[in-house]
Amino acid sequence: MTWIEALDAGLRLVLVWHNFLFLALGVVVGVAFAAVPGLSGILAVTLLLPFTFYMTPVAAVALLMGAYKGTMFGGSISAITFGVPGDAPAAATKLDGFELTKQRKPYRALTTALYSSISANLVADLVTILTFLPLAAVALAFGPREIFALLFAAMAVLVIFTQSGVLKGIIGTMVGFLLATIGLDRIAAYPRMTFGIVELEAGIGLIPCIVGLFAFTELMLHFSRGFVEAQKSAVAESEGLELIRHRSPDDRLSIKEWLGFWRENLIGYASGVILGILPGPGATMSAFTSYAFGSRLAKNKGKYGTGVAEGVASAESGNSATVGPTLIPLFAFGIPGSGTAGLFMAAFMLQGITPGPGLYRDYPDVMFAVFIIMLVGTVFNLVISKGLIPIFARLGLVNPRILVPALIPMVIVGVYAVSYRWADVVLVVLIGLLGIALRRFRIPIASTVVAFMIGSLFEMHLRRGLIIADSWTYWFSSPIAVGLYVAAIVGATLLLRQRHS
Amino acid sequence: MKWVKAIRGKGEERAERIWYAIVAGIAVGLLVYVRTQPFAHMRTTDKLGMATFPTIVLAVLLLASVLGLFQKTREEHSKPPKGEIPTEEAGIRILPVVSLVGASLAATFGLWRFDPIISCSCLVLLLLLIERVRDWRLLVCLPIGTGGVIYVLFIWLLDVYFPRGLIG
Repeated sequence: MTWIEALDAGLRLVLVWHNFLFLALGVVVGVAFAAVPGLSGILAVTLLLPFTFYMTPVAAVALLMGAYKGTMFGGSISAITFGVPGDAPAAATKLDGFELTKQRKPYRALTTALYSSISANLVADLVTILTFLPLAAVALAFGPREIFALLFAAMAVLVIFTQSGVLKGIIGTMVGFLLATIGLDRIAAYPRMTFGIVELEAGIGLIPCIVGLFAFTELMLHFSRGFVEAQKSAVAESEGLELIRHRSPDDRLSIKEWLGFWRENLIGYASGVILGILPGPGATMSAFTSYAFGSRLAKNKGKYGTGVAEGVASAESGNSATVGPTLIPLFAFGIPGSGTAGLFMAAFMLQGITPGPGLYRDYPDVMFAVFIIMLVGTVFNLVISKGLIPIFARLGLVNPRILVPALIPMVIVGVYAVSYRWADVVLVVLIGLLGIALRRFRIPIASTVVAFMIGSLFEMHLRRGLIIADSWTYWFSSPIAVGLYVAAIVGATLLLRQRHS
Repeated sequence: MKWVKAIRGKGEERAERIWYAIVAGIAVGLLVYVRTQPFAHMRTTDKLGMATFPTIVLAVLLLASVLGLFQKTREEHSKPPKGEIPTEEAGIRILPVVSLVGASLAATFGLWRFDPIISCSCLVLLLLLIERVRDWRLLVCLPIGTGGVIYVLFIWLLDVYFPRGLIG
């Protein structure tokens, strides 16, 4: 199938009314979840995941993609309106966004955030599409040693970028690997690490692991009373909602004005794309990196933090530009680089599609459909978010502690609906408890999830390579593999030295 | 003993060391388990064996946790990452118990067609009471609403089949 034929087939797959309905629904759910302080965007995508089991692959991607894109802007709404970030990446947006609200210009901040978020989404989508096609061709030439080297590099990056220290990064990664070893051995088909429990012989499924670590952990760790009290007083003190409802004529931002922030936006795009591709850093680190670079390089550099729209543009373009690039390693090599990419991997696998080197060869139409959905999703995000800003802003008033009791049964029933196994429900709870232990230990859960997903690949390619290899030199006989090892070791050493200095 | 002294620290540092000690203990226990299982002694075509990868993983886990025990806690490592929402663990004791008991009861006794609504509504009500919510409108509406959403989404739209056990 040529790419023109694939594009045509992809268009046919997308042009069904229910795909657009799910895309819109995803955007609304994503923005809404992220707009409630304390409910993270990843929780929205996790809760939607079980429903995708009952959908077509394109509809499933539409729902999740809409939610993923929506969460990026959604978090900034309560950060700007009330000074309470909806989710972690929006913490950087708050720095200037809420200052603008104090200056009675919340709409200016929100519009800057929206335009920067949408434009970053668009740039990230284009980078993803343009990078994926050549990478997919290269990936087909990858054998076990190259994939193993790539996984090694991914693991190194994952560990190095752990904010709470390298040792904790290693522990988080090893816990993920350990979870991946439970179940039938792929080569000998013999149960291992099951402790004699029959239900564990099938291994730990992606859905119970992801839902347990992301959703159940978040829900079990109640948002602290202190946080809710702070949210209440922030809401009571802030005039943001009133100012959005009765907008003053000078509280506006023209497209021409926003285009003047090109330098800040470009820094954000670059930061988001680079940090998005790497496994580990994520949207929060990208937002703060973009903000830090913006504050040094921008035209208004001395005024960052005092309520300048350029600061909002820096932070928001930085976090939103990670959306597409996090999916590049997943689509091209089958390696999820972030927790959300892991959720997409799970969604693909629920549909019987394994992301990785053969993805474009086997499903070119689906891949083009995914790309079209990404682009259309950006437009939907713009239209829905812009139109519903006043409504989404009101969600900042919601007490997240009250939503927790309603979301827990949804999680339980959702997991059961996918596998029809009570064992999976019990696993969600147990893995949720493990997630709490990890959080308590300041180990980022995303690194455990990513390690869980690449763990079985890591072992499988190592053992496949050992079957093929006649000597240890096999592992270093490929220039690509050697290049990846060198890049991983040099990169890790440099980053470690920089951290210590 | 040097390691006992090392574990004794103050506040956050001490908590960190206790955690590292627990991880090290779990790693040792699992290493013993892996090496004493039949699969550790079986031969496979790749010559690596089934237990090698878990053993390496556990050895790295043990090494990292032992290093952590003797590492001086850097202040920034014990601080929450930027942007993290502060949480509390008050619900941890009760939520998993409620969820596990609920799941076990449902697995044993089965569910009627309308039972997911009743079970889920009761669970929501219980959790709201644990949360010390006293607003009666919320106590009535949220459980019924959640049950309704679950019925519409899972039974009516997705046609999910719930198991029928002793009473189903």
